[in-house]
Amino acid sequence: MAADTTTTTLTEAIPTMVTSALLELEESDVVRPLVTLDTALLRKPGIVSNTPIIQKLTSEADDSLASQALDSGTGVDTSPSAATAGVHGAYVQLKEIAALGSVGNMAAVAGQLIGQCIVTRRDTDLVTLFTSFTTNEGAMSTNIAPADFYDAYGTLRTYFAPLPYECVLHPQQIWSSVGVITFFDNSSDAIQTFGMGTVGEDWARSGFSGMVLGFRMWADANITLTSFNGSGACFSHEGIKYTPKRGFRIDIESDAPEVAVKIVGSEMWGEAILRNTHGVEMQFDTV
Amino acid sequence: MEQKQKTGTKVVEETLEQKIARLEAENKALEEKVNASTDLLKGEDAKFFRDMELLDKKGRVDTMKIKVIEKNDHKNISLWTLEGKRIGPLHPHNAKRTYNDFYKRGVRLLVEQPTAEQIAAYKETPEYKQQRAKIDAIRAERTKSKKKGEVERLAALIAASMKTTPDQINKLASSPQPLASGR
Repeated sequence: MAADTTTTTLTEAIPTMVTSALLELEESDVVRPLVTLDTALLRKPGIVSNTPIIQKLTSEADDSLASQALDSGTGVDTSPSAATAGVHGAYVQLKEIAALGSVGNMAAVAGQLIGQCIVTRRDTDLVTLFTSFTTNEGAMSTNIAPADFYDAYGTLRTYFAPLPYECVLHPQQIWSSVGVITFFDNSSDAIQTFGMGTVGEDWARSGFSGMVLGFRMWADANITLTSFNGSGACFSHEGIKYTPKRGFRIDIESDAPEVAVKIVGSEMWGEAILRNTHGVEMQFDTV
Repeated sequence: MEQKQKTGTKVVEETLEQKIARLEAENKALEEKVNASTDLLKGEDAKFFRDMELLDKKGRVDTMKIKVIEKNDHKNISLWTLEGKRIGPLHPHNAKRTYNDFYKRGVRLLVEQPTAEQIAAYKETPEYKQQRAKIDAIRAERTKSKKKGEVERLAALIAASMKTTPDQINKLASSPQPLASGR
């Protein structure tokens, strides 16, 4: 008679399969490609990039222009626009025992974590500038309406903001029961756009459209929500400037006392409002 | 310290020691009730899991932990509006510029977060009520339905073109159909 084998013994012999680790997802580089790239500091001395904004001249209908001087009134935009570059970095302490004991390549995972962290930091720095625009088309406890886009477009056009116009909102300001998607739900107050090839059809089919009422739509989850309210923005690329000083770099050093390796990723950049009149804040509720 | 305890209509004064003894007895009764329940862990089982929890709290194993630390050479700061809205967090230089930009436009920002009491007090001021009324008026204009009254407007247009009144037009709907009689 064969000896009985308990399942406990067999369980210990069965290996545990470990698949590649999944990293928690983060929003990536949404805003940087939409703003002015100011390369004044790249590979040059200095850490503050000033962009002077010269007031326009006012032509006078006068038979004597000799006494006319440059208009000494106050310009609409603050001059200069100054962006101070700073160091942004993250480091990972990868213990040797963790690296040796892992199924996957933990150094690669560490690098990915660092990269994600820095990209998110940059996007967050740009997104938090939205509240610095002095014109706000919305407010607390306010739902977005098509007329907000009309006024935003009108404001940008009044101050000669060049096309294209971008609109960056939190995903829940777009897709929620009070979001932009309600403009196209064919309700009695919806925008009249239904039929083949229309924006309404895009929204009904794919839940999204690249452009809405003159703005290119972007969703950015790095916009902070407080009490179901958040601040996106509608802007032209000259509304904000992004000023890199030094690109991304990885440094590795051994941390012998900790029996670990320090992997350090760093990048240097600054950001600032360039033309305040070329952007408007869009502060609206999400639910 | 003496505490007063009502029993029926007579108020009985209870000393601190008596109160402690009463509470301890109540606790013991509740514990016995919990232990008597068959749905909950009792006795040694509960102690085992409590001890396991304590071991996890007191001991620490960092072997499989990867520490990720973000470092920046500046500390971003936030500005605040009087009604408690956060502006930022911004680089300190951007914060100064933003403060100036809003100041030039007559809007006062705060460097420290206002408390709930300060926000509530500000919302009672005539300045805030005036500001909010302006915003509400703008919202009312932007969100008003442009389709309301369309039917009435159409009826008025038809009536004008037929040189009659909207009421006469509406009556047509309820008046008997001439061709229907005799069918």
